This record gives sequence, C-alpha cells and structure tokens, in this order.
Amino acid sequence: MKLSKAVSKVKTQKPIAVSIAEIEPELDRLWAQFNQSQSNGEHTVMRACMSNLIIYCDTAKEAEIIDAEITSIVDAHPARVILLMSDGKPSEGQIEARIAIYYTAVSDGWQVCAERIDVISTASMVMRLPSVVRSKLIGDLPTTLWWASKQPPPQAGDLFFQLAEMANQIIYDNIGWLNPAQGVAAMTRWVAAQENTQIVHNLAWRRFAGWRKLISQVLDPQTAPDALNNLHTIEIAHGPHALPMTWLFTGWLVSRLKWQAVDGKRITDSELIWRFRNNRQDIKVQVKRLPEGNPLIYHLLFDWSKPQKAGRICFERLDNERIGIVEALSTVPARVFSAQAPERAALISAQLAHRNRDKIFENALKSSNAMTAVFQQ
Amino acid sequence: MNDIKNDNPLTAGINISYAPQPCTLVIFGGGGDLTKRKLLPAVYNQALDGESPANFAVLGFAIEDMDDIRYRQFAREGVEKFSRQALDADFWPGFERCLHYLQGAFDDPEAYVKLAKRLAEIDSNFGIPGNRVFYLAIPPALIETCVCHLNAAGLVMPIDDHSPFSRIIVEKPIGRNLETARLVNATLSKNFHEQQIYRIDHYLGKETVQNILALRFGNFIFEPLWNAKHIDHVQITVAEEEGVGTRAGYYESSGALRDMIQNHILQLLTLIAMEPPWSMDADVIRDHRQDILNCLRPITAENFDQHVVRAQYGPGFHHGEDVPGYRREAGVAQDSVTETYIALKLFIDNWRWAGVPFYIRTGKRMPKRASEIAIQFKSVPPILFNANQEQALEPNVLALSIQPNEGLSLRIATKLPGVKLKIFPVKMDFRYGSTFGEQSPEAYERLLLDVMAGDATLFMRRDAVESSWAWVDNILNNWASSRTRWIPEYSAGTWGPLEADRLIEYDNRKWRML
Repeated sequence: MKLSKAVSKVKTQKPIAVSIAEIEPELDRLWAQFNQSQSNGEHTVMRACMSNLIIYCDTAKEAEIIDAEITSIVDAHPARVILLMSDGKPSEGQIEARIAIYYTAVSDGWQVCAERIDVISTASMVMRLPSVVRSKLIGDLPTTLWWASKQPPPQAGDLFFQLAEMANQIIYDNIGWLNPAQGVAAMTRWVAAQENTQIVHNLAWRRFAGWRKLISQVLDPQTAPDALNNLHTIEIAHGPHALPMTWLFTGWLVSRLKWQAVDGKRITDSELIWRFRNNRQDIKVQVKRLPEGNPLIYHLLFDWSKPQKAGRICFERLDNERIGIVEALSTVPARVFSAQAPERAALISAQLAHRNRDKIFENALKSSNAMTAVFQQ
Repeated sequence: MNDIKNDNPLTAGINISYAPQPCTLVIFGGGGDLTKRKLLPAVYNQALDGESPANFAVLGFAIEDMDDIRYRQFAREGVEKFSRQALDADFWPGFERCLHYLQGAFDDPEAYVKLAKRLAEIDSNFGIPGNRVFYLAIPPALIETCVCHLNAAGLVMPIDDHSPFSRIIVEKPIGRNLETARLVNATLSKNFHEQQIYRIDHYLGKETVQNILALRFGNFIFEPLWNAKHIDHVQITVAEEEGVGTRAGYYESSGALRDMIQNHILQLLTLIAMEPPWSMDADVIRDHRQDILNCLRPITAENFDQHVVRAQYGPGFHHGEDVPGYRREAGVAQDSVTETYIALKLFIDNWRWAGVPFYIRTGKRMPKRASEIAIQFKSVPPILFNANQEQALEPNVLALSIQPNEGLSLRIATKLPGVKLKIFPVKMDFRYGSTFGEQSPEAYERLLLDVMAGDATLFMRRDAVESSWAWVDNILNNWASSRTRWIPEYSAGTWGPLEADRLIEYDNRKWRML
C-alpha cells in the first residue's frame, strides 16, 4: 500500500486540561457532548479503536511535531493515543494531563476514531509516567510504544523498560541518533534479550522497504543472472541524518547475501567505506553523505562487472516521489518507479497494523552490529 | 560453493503476500472499453502504489488503428476518467513508457508472428524473462480464435521449471449454458494447462468478499454458530441502480440469471457456505467451494414456482426522474422476456446447511446500488424479552456489505436507557473506508497481481464453471419449456415484483430493507 500523504477526513478539537484522576470521566463527558452536538441524539456516535498507542518524546518541540502527525495516524489506524512528554513544563505542579477526541464522518453519523491523552511531566517526575499509562490502556487491544526520543531506547533505562513491558510492539527510529554505532549495539543486545512475542521495529527499516522490494526484483537471478553472486562494488549516497538507515540497509544486504564484515573506516567527514567478503570475492561498500537533502537514500549503484562483461545498475532518487534506473552516460532514466518518500505518520500507522516479529529485520540489525564491531571510528 | 541460482535471498521477508513476477501483460482487446475503464487504470494504480513488478510492461493488441503514442494517450484518458487515484503528472511520463500497442486482427496468423517479435523486443528492453499474461478482454466468440493462434505461434510455454510462464485470463461469460461452457473450456484446455487458466470474476477481488474467509475462519465466535442449528436463513442481494444502458445487445441474450447468478452470486454463496479449508492453498479453497456447488439442490419443474421468480422492470422513477421500462430501452425487443430481476430460494443439501433457505435476489433499476450478504440468526426463545409475540425481538443479523460501502454490521438487541425494560435493536457497524482510512485497491488491481504471482485462489476453476452452469441450466430449461411471452413486471426504482415478496413471505420471512 502506498504510504502517501492523503487528505485526512479526521477532525479534532483543542485539547483540554484535566487532572490525571479525571481523565476517563472527562473523556466520557467529551464523547457525550460530541454525540449531542453532532447528531442531536439521532444517531449513536460509534467508537472505532484498533490499538493503544503510547508515544514517548523528550521535548516540547518534538511533541509539537507529533501533534500534527496524530491526525494522519488515527485516520488510518483508529487508536487510543497516550502522548508522554518528559522534560516538559506543566502549567501547574509537576505533572498534568490534556485530553481530546478525534472524529470522522461516516455515512449515517459520526465515528470517534481516537481519544488522545497527553501527559506532561517535568524531568524529575518522569518515572511517574508509566503508572499513568498503565491505568489508561484499553484492555483487549494491542499496545504499541512509539519511542520518539532521539535517545536510543535502552539507553533511557528504566523508563523505557517499564513502558516497553506494557507493549506488544516497540517502534523506534534511528534517524538522527547522534552515535549510530553505540545505538545499534545497544538495540541489538536488547532485541536479542526479548521474548519472541514482542515486536521491535525500526522506522528506518520501513523507510527503505520500497528500495528492498525494487532491488530484490531488479537483481533477481531471473532478470540479472550473475548479479547477486558477483557483486563487488556498491555505492550509496544519502542525505543528512540517514547514515543509521544506510547502516541498516547494508546490514540487510550482508545478512541476506551471507557476507562477512572485514573492516570499515571513515575516509572523510562525509564518507566511509566497508569491506566484506563472500566465498568468491571482496565486496566494497562506499557510503557518502550528501551536503543537503532529506534523510533518504539518493543514489545506489550495484556493480558486478567482470573484465569481459559489464554488469551494473544505477538507481537515482529523482524526487520525493520517484526512483529511476539511470544507465551509464545517460541523464534520462530508462525506467521510473513510484517510490514516495514516506511521511513518518504513514510509516507509524502502517507499522501499527503489523503484528509479526520481523526476523529479516532482526538479522539485518545483527549484521549492522557486526559491522559496528569492525568499524574503526 | 553456495551459488545463488534461482533463489533470491533478497526477497525473503518482503511484505508482499503475493510476489508478482516480471512479465508482460498482453491485452487482447487492448483498445476496448474494459481495458480503458478497468485494466489500464488498474495497472496504473499498481505502479503508483509500487506494487507492480519492477520488470513489467503492457502490450495492447487489437484491431483499432493506434501506435504506442496514441495508445498512451488512450491509456491516459482512461486513467484520468476512471482511475481510483488521480493521474500524477510527474509520475505519468515514466509510467507510460511501459505501455505499448500492436495493431492486428485476431484471426490473422501473421499478426501473431508480429506479436511474438514485439514481445521479444519488450523482453529485451524491460529485462523480462519471457513471462506473459494474456488477458482476453474480448467477446466470448473470439476466445477460440485467439487461444488457438497463440498456441500455433509458439507463445504458450509448457509448465516446467525451465520455461517462462504463460498465463491466460478469461472474462465471463464462459459459455451461455453448460454445453457451450464445456466447449469454451475444452478449447482453453487444448491450448493451455488448467494451471495456466485464470477465469476472472471481479466480485471475488473485492475486499469484503475476501474478508468472508477472514471473518469466518479468523474469529472463533462465528464458526460455531455458522450452521443450520443457529442460522435461520441467508439473504444475498445484488441490486443495481442502472438500467440496461448501452449493454442491451449483450443483456438481451443473457439476462440476470446468466449475468449475475451463474457467476458472481454462486461464487459468493460458496464462500459463505464452504466448510473450513485446511490450508489457504488455491486448490484447497477451490475444492471446498466446489463441494458447495456439488451440494446445491437442483430446482425442478415440480417446485419451480416456489423457488424462482423472474421479472422485468417497467417504467418508473430513478432519483425522481422518469425512466423507461426495459422493453423501451434502445436495442431491446418490444416483446422481450429477458429477466432483469430474479429472486431464488435455494438449499444446500449437506449437514451444515440442511433446511436453511438461501434467498437470493438481483436486479436492475432497483432503488439503490447495494450488494450485501445477510446472515439472519434464529430468534431467541419466546420467553423473557421475547415473550410478547406482538412485539417480537428482531433477530441478530450479520450483514456483509460488498458495495458501495465495503464493511460489515451486526444487529444486536440492547436495553434502552430508563427505568422501563425496553429492548431496542442497535447496529454495530464496521466500514473499511472509515475504519482504516486507506482506499482499498480495486478488484481488478488485486486480481491482476494475483495472476502475476500465480495465485489462483480467487479465480474459477473449470469444474466450478461447469457445475454452476449445470445448476443454472435447470432454470433455463424450465423457462425455455414454458414458452411464455409473459413476465412479471416491477416499476423501475422499486425493490422488485410482488411475486418475489410472496416467495419469501410464504416462509414467514421478508426481504431486508437495504
């Protein structure tokens, strides 16, 4: 399904401040009020709810961004959203709550598609947040924790562990991590220690899902018979903040093609190189950060040429919507594919519906960690 | 050495439940109405959603005089007018390069030589390993000509591990009775293996239809109730608002029984009534559906009038406007007895459904467009809340809506607020569109991808087509033997003739208000 930005039909009202103890009664009151005002008692306002979604973020700035995304998320995946913000500035005391409902028109009435509860605490009160969450989850529904902090989750310690304990699924995003290598190592250890029932998911993984699908088809032995066996050079160029994603992408290739990491080093501030080995030859992966752009992969070249036989394919991101295959000495793409750079909200709502642990991702994560081990900082 | 030969380790875990393989889609009748309204928009939407295979092309093949450039314009017009997603001006130039056209007569062997040559060129340009999907968007009379020539031109590959695939999609109607259906199937079988044949019924590509299996076998609560002990009856309604429109030529020789019952509705019935399959494998599902067709009680001359009502729409109103009766429509004979409406009562003679009537109705010029399957459960015993038979409780109904709003609803009884004990029915509604927010792909999009992936679950097998014709033939033969020129009439814009009401009221039941 396309992860595009659709025009949302969902409406909401300004959140109202309530005490923690009054969250549920106030939500009921909002619902009843809405029922009366919208349908004049003629229709029952329905509730659609598929999940609990706990969102954790550190700062008011991040919360503001998330605020704008919630509408799109609940449009695709109705949920009870509990937005936690640490290091906030409650208007009164050290912890406060706000509530709102989101609703959408259906043919014969209205449907509440989300209830939102914001809980804002000061940094010193942050360990009280899990207790609030525990009492506000709707039973019998899957629960997802979206860790929207820039800090790798396990490094947040007990707060993360307590929240994670309530969730069937943990979504994090390593775009923007300050030290990807350390974060990857911490995450790999934590994921390996989890029970099989909990799903852990990196948004970066979903961000390049389109690339994975495209590459797997174009390099398929049916269409490019020698490519996967004889790959020897890969060039990747990415936008700012996309190194962790590129790292994971390379980890995916390594795990699927059964390469061994030999070494890796930084060439310049914006370039690094890895060397891998399979049972035939060395494989070189050169990674370059572009000075500007979005956190996306922009250029991807696979070379499996032999002395007498050319074999290479080059992909270029043409814009936020399209990827092209560009042949040598040409500036016009030979083929163009739809590959919309997905909005974060669309990635989240798509992932909320995902109910299985992704072993391919976990293996890619392990390989990324193996790459960290041989990387010379 | 562990060389990568045919396996592709990169595809593991990629979340495409079906993995469409690289191929060229060859559309016979590539310049026709179905292609413009449905097929090319479906292909466009697949590409826009990133669902098409990376190595993919389309070749329209038809008699109309067009070249690639004109064909791309034709496709663009179709997408602009009929596509689920609006035409993306930035995406279109890259997309349209995969669209090609070849002019040729279907009965000209030379045209197939050119077709083979053009396909080889496309393979080379698009990195396609010779895989083809042939879509026959053509009148049934041309099927034999096309498949025989395809085979003669060497364009049908055998099924083995080394050859590229050749698959053929055939549109309904497959024949117009059992005898002709067998002839069409025999022609197809002479040229294609059954595994290569995909008999398409676009109803089966609809989200709710697919959801029937998920609802029945993905939830524990329904299946124990899904039998004669708990279900009073089932109603299937497929109502169309439109009249015959421009299809009189086809419809006059078809009618509602052939057009809707023999294929769409009997297929829906099999999904509702089938036993739990032991795997999602295409042939397992199709075997279980086939079992239902084998259990359909034949409608005989003795019980015919209690089980079948046909009718034709007369003049009436559609959204407040005058509309003519069927016999006044362009292209319709003034003494036509073609049925535009049919109501049936049928039984499935197996243990699960013994004695449960399935009431089916379909017609044109109904008050609104609505397709629905309603499972009506038995009434609660006449004690407690249901003691007063003058105010009997309405039974629970599980209704699966197929169009226009795909979803399902459950009617349950609940107490009205207040000191008095008053019970009131409420409806719990689930709508795909409003719950998930996302647009479901059109049925043709889903079904085309299934063919590219080699998944035949939602397509009709030869035995299903022939069994359903065998059952329908009983009705057709009865009508043929009656030789009457009279047919009940219902006013356009109503829910059908009085005779249909009587058919169900005779059993102390009534048609649902949609």
